[in-house]
Amino acid sequence: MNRKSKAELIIICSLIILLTGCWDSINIEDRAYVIGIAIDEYPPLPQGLKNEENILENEQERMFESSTEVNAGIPSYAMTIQIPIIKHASLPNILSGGASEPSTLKTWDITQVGNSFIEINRSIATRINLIPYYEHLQVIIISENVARKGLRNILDFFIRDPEMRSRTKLFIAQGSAKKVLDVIPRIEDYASIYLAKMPRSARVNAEIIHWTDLGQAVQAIYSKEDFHLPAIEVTEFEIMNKGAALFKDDKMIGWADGKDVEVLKLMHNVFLGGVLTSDFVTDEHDSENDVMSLEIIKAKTKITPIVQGDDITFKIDINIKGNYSEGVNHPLTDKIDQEFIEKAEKAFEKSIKDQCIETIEKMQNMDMDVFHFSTAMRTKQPSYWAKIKDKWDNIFPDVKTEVNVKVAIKQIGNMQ
Amino acid sequence: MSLYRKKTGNKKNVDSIKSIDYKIDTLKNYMNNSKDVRDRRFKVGGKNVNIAIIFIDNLVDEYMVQDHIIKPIMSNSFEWPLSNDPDTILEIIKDYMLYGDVIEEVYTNNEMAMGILDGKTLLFIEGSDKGLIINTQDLPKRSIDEPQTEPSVKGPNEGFCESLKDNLALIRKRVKNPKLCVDIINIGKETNNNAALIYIKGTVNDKIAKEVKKKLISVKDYDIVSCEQLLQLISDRPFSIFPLMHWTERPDKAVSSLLEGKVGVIFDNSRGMLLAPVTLTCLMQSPDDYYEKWFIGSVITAIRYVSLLITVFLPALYIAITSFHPGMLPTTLLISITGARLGVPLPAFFEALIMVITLEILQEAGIRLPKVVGQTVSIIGGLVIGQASVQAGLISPIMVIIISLTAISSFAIPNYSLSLAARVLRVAFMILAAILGAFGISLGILYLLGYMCSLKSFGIGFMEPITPYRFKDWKDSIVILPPSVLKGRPEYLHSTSDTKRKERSKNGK
Repeated sequence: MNRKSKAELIIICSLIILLTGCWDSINIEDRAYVIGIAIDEYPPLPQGLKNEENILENEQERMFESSTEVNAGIPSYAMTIQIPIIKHASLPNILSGGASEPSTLKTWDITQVGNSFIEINRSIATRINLIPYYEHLQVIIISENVARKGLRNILDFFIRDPEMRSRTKLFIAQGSAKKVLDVIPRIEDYASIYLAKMPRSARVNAEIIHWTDLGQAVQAIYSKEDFHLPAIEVTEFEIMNKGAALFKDDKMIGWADGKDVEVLKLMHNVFLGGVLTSDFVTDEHDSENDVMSLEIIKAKTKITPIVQGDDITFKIDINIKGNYSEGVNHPLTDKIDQEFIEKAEKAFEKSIKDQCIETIEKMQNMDMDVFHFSTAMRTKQPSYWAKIKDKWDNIFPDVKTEVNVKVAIKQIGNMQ
Repeated sequence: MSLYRKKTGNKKNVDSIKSIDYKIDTLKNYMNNSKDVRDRRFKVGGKNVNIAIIFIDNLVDEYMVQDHIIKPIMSNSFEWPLSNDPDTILEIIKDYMLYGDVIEEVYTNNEMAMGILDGKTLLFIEGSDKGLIINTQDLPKRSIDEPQTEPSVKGPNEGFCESLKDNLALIRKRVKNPKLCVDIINIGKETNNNAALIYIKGTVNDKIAKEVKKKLISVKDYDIVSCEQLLQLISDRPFSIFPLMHWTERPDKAVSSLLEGKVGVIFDNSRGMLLAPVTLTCLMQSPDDYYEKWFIGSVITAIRYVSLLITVFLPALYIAITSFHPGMLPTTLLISITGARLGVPLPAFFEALIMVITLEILQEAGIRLPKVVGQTVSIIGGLVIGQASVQAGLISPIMVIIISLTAISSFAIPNYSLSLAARVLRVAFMILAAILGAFGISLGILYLLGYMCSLKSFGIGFMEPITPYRFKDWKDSIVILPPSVLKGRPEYLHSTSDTKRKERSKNGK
């Protein structure tokens, strides 16, 4: 290559870069970071707690409602996005140039209605001078009514859009979903981030579901497994974990309470930690208030399907290691010795077993295979599974289960 | 002035060409009648023979000329033979009277002039063509001082100075070994400076030593004043942005490199020593690594690599993330950065560019200012870069943190030339990041890696031993293991003795 053509090549290459310019470059402060999305049924327009007090904003929403024109038919969803107002964020003094007033609004929740979520997204851009940006989306909250209609149509946009992350957390709200975004948490600026961090407590309380990703839910929908998502209840200042919402195909069927969630987590082998209680062991104390508690450190479950003819039994072996953490009304005369520990282990085993059986029966009555017995069958008895695959929904309510619980108490604390 | 006046009365029977005045005149003419060339005429004691010495005023030790040349000749008590042959007399003077340690016989004007210019004294005698050059050198020089660009906590504080002699002495006193070879090569058509090529025979890779010597001879006609110019002249890639020879002013570093099998070049009147070949890993090492325990040396080396990465990439990454990929940040950090940038009128790239340029100006001003006023720069710089620009809302506080971190990291790079190269690369990467974001940075890294791998310093790759991959050499480059493990020489230098050993063991099999 001679010198002239080399020079030409360099000029052409630099023109390609320089003349096209910085096409994707947007200053960090010029984007609207959507940190939470709430999806409600429409009509009616969802009424957030805050908006009921704030008449002005409410009026605006109404004005906007009357002027909305949606391309794709009659709108059936209302989507609310939460954008942090960064000027009002609690930042160190040097960053914000002065502490913000505590009473000012920290977020702007914009509601827009429509059928197609991408259309809703773009129409939100007509109301805001920043560019909506979804890579920091923390939570998607779906109201109960919407969930009962089915999730597939809703989540399609969220898994296809390149700005979406499959680790975004999904929650099902009892009642209106927008109300959740309107909560003002006392120790955090934004309800979305507060809610996204809540499942972390799952390591101390087994009633909280900690795996709630968008990706996992979508995977379950498309592999036609029954699944569950965390349910939340909301008041003005508080969001509360409230068991789980159970899904068949992509439609919500019913609720599961905290105790059911504990069993669910045991069955799925994702028990991170929590407390189980039992009646007191010694016979003289049969008052109902006398309880003892077991703090579970480690739980391991094995589900084995046993097929004899057309008789299906699921053998469920649960191994639990834990600490004896509390004995309410523990009589002073009762020393904690080996004999007592063995008795206590027995009592815990019984109480856990009862709880498991109760939940399994409940799920069988609802025909919800949320324990994924089908998966156990498919991996361990693949030939038999091929035969019964299509009839599984009819078979599941009648399968037998055999629950074996083994509890080992490791520590009893400093006192005997 | 009277001293310089020509004396004309002494022409007697002697052939005018061999007359001492004539010779002094020719020589002075040859040296363009510079007024600092001085002559002194006297007579040999006990013999009525004219004798003259010529020297340059400021380059000789006057007492040496007086005591070791004039005095023994004038006040000799030698029993002279009857012959008046000037050559015999000169021979006797040389053998019996002069105390000088180095005495050469010279004949031509050029040889004589070169000797005089070197600070030696020329002596000749009436009637003889021959002259004697006697060593009376006393060149002005600085005493041995602390190495200024490569300070060390525990290491020796002797640094190379500008005198070739002293520098050679600093090496010799550390390697008491007859195998240490020194070659002197004269460089410069007008300046006639010496360059010394130093290596340890048997340790060095002969190919490298020959190559360096060939290169040095090939640049003989260039008039250069500094080591760095010499480096650029003799390195394989004169346009390289990385230094292709390792400049150091630490004798301990130089010696350990020589022992590894490298070649050293000292250029007279230039501070420091050049070592070849050079690799990125040895530019990133500091002698302090070897004056501490091995694991501390290893950890500190790792920190230096981190600081090299920070100083090149941090501003570019900030630009790329804030203008192209805010999704890469954790949400809480995103909110702080956005909050900090609220109200800043400039895009991130220009914000960073302004700060980087300010930083470079401050650094340059800090070097150029006299030490007495040096503090002013740091005070004003601190105010301008830090507080004031943030309070005025021109710059976001995050940017200040990034620039300070970048600047401090660049000071952690042990080699000054490398740290300068890193400063230039930083701006290049910032531009790439502003145009193409992280994609631009990756393109830049790809190109830079390719470029670095293509660089060669006297036949040895710049990225050795990382690529080509020589895991054995990592113990003394990426990490530093205890001396008991560091036996043998680095593989990548292909040292002669190692090759011989290999051949021997092959033949033995």
